[in-house]
Amino acid sequence: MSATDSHAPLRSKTNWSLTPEAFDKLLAALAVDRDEAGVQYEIVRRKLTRFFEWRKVESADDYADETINRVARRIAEGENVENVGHYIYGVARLVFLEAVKGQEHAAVPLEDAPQSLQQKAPEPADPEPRILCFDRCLDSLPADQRRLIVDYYREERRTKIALRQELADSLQIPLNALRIRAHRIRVRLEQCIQQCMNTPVSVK
Amino acid sequence: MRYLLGTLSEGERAPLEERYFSDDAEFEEIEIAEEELVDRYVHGELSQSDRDRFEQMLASSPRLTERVEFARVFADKLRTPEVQPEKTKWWGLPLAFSSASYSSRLVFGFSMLLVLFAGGGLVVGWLQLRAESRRLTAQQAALDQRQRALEQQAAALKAQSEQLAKGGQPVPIESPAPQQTPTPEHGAPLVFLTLTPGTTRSASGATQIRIAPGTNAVQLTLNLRDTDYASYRATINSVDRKDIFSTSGLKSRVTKNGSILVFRVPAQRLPQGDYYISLYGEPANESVDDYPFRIIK
Repeated sequence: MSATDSHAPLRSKTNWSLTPEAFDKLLAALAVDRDEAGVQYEIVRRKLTRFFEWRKVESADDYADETINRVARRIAEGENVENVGHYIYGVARLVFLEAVKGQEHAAVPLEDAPQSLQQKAPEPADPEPRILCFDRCLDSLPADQRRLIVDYYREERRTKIALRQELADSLQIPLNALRIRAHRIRVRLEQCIQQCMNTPVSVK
Repeated sequence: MRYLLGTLSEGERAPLEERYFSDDAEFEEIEIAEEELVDRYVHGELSQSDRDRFEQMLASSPRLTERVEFARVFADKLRTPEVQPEKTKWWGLPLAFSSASYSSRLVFGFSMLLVLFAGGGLVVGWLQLRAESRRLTAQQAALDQRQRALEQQAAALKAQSEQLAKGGQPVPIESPAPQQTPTPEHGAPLVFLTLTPGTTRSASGATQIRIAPGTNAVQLTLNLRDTDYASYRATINSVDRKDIFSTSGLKSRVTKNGSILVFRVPAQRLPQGDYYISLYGEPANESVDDYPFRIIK
């Protein structure tokens, strides 16, 4: 049995669904400024999705949405939430526990949630469209970003480490700042490739 | 990386999650760690057990599978010349030079002459510095060796005097050779603990050592899996992630059993409990390995 097999299919505890008013209140709890609240909402949703993924829960997106719905409902009902991040995490843990408890036998402590033994990684898809998209997206990056990401991930092991130090020195930034900068460019590149692959006509 | 691979206990996992839910920078750090994990997987740098764990993660995460595919394509691309960084090709210089005007060639020739003179001077200076650096390194090594010998002598004398004060026979002090299992030395001023990465990471299965009263320090020997770094930083954390001790600039030593790092921690900094050492490669500050252990007093 695998951890992902063992999680209960997601079923909302009530028939409550997210209303525009509740969503507005959730946004207001995240930030005073509406635009900033929108950004925060995206971050919170990403954190929740990763939380469930990193705990090996399948359909992590659905569990993230269920968590958001529950938090929004509580806020709409007038619950005073002082630390939103902390509160969301608490609700996420409960949702996770419910997923684990959904398995056939009794509840299992979080750390004993069974590991996947039978599942295999999915077969890799045809790499050709990805390669085309990669070229296209890399070319679409501004020259300085393209140079940075190529230099940052070039080489392996010892050579890579020395190169990164050289790169940080040349940009006059600490190594950790360089690491974050490269990560952000890489995320942008990955997103671009994802979008490109979802529109296969444009690849040609 | 331990969090992502699912090898942290619930007690270690929950505070980390709580932090990243409240702190975006902390969350970004974990996303970067995930990226580094993906790259290590693609480059075949994970141990077999970590590789198995990672493949379990892949099975339940299409997003992560996408990231692996991206990393593969990226790694392949970086090996091909078309994505290599744009640099001036030295072999193109003569062609460009031949088509330049006479005055340009004159200026260029003069500049090259200057560069050659300056370069020669620099090489001579560098050679002198290198010789001096080697001499100082040798001196430092000799001093280190002498200091270690003196420390061992002092420890032995102290143990002997304690034994004599109790009216017993002197106890010889063991040399701190790397060991596969911890060897507590009851009543000795120094105890030795050798740790290997990739062993059971849960607190219950951690390597244990008993520290007897009167122990001054714990000498930790970390068996290294990854020896690519110029130096290392080790931090000791309690299971609730409290920083206990940190030391940097550690240089690896090669022994017949492989490469190791050795450092000492004052015994009073380690009350009874569960700990883990996080090892980082410097100067890249990359996470290398974790070494869990338990102190019993």
